[in-house]
Amino acid sequence: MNIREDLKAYLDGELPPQRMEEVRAALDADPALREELEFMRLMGFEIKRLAAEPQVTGVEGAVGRLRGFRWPSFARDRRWVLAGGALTVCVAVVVVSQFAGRLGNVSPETASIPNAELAFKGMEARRPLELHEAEAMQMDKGRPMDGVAESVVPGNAGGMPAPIPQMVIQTADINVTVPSARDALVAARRIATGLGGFVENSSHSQQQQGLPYAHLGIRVPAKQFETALDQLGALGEVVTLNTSGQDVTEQVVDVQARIKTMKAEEEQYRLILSRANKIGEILEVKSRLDQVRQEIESLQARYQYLSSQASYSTITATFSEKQTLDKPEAPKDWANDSWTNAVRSLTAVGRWLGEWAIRLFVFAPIWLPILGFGWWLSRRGKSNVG
Amino acid sequence: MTEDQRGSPDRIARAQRGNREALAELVREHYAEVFRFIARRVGTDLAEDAAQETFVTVQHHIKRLREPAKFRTWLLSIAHNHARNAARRAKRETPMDLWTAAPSPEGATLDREVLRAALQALSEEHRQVVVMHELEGLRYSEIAEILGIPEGTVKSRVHHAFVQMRARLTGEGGNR
Repeated sequence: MNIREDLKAYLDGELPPQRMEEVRAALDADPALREELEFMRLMGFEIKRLAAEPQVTGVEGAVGRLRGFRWPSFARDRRWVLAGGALTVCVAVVVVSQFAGRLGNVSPETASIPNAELAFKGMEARRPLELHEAEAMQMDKGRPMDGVAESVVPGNAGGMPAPIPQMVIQTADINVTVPSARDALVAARRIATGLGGFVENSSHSQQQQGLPYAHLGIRVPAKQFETALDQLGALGEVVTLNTSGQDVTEQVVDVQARIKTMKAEEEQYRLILSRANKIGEILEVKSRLDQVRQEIESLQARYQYLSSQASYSTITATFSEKQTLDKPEAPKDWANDSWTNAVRSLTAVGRWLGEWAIRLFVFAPIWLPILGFGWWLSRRGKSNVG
Repeated sequence: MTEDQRGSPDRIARAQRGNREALAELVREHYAEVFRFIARRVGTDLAEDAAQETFVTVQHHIKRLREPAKFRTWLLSIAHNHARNAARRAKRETPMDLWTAAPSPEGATLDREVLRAALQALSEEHRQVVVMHELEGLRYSEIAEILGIPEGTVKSRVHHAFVQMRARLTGEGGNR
């Protein structure tokens, strides 16, 4: 290695001992090197003399600043304020997403599971709206809601088409807890017959938990639909109530029109039959007449079915007994219950963690840059430590 | 001087335990050196604030100092970072008004004005190691630690800085 490159390091005592000896030997042998070394020594000396001594200020200010300092200085350090703000935004985003997710998940049906009464109220609140809408449709047609097309006669050949009443098939499914399922079954039969309806089917049996329950299918005149529901609900506490209506007006009108057409065709065939002379013609017309007749009967049966469905609403009622405290409970297996509860809790926690992980992942485009910015600020602060 | 010979280890240890008086003593002991260290890089107008920031950082992180014997090097590393940040914010390079313009006495071997000009002609990184070594008395290893560069690089920079200055002073021009 070139001795000259190590002259300054030699002068500063920064060389290993062996190299120091080598440089010293070279210096002894080379006067030019010695002169160079002296020049460097002189330069160092003059540099120190040239340097101005800056006037030191602010030492007590620094001491005072440290004494007034509170560890850590979150409030005064802008980095911490920004990082705290970023963290707050992240938490707010996640909490809002959680809250919004819960709101989106709530439906009357799911809410009915933990609180049947609340669900019932929600359904009750919905029903008037549906009825008002249906009533409004009826008012447009100049007839109160009835669901029955009693005045409609197939084959009406009047000049102007008769106003077509709306025909709606109404069904309801009501679940009521009652003190006695058997008594409720008897009462429901009376309600059905008292309103001019009838019982389609009924059953009375025991549930798995040993509680009796009754099932009833009744038909009541469409006019008595709401009354029947009110009276059935009054037998106990309504747990769930679902109502629906199917507008079959269009189907009825279609059937009516087809019946009318088929009857006209039937008349034509009868006229042809009366004028036919040949056996072959008679047989052929007779065959076509039979087909038309069958079709007319099929359409009339369809019309009667639809009319019947619209005239009589269908209500399916289930009466279940409420478990009371004085009823003897089945002996419980506490260990099994504890195990079940523990597994259920673990599952709930796992699901909760999973939901949070998914939310964090989905919202990553929002919180990740914020967190990265906060991290960068934090790193920037730490970088001053060296 | 590989170990800090000022600032007793006991005082540093007490400061690490949160003793404010010990920390205040450390500040008084090292403030002037830190101030001058920064002033030579960014000027006296920015030095006070940067020096105070340096000691605020020291207070924040002194518990992390694993080798109290290297307290001075650690302190100057922090000061170097704050000086660099201050220079960046002020968009300023090493000021030359910190070198006196004292004329050379008659018969002097070196012309001080030429030496001043030679110092000014050095690149920032070469002048930096010269100042740290010649004025702050830091060893090559300490400079390397503060700047975060290899010790060999420090040695090389010092050598080349002196070669350049000598060439300018002797009128030889160019490096050797």
